[in-house]
Amino acid sequence: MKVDGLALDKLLALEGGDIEGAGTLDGNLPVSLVNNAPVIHGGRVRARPPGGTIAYGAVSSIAEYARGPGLEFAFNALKDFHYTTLDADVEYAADTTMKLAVRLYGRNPTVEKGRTIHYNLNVSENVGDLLRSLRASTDVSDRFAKRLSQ
Amino acid sequence: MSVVPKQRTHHMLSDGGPRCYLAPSPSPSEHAVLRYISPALTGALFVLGMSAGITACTPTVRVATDQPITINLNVNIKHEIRIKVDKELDGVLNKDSGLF
Repeated sequence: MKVDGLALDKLLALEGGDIEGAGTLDGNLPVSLVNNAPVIHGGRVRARPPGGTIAYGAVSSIAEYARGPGLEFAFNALKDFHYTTLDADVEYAADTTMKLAVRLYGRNPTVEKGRTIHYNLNVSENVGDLLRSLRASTDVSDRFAKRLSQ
Repeated sequence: MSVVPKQRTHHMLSDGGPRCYLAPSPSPSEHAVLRYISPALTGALFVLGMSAGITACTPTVRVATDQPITINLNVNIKHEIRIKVDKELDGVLNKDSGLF
């Protein structure tokens, strides 16, 4: 499956309102079927030059749990990150677990005077749960309405 | 009429458990999506909340002069659905309602 000109903001919108981004992604996600379940092995997605921005807004709620300057620094850097390189390896397993290994190179103008930051981000997420949570709102409402009209 | 809030929580989580858990799921007030259903249900409130919990562990930050700052971070995103139902609706939402 080819990724051609996917807008990063649309992708991040799936994760809720905490994170926003700008940029355009291209790549290749080789999908194969294992016991009728789709899997992706060796997928690769990268941002088109000149890059874009990522703004993670939920830093304050994260900071409550952040014990140690390392984690706080790591999330603060993502508050307003201007990347020149966004390059991700994508793996998707039959149990709907997605693993992203993201290399995010750029800078945050307010962090360390805008010094270059090499961000290596490993993200693990169950896409099945994500889709279920997105669907649950309308799903339960529909069933509720149907039940009431009986 | 006494209304005792009742909470049903569906945990659709877990992939074996993280090594540490710095950021438990945010409270419903932080991320909850409130949804009022059907004006006919006076006083009945149906709340459905979705939240994404993030687990982030063992970041390493390396700083050296004249070199880029390197940040290595592992993030585990979990999605959780919370459904709260008023006592008033409890009778409607029993096991036989076909809702769940």
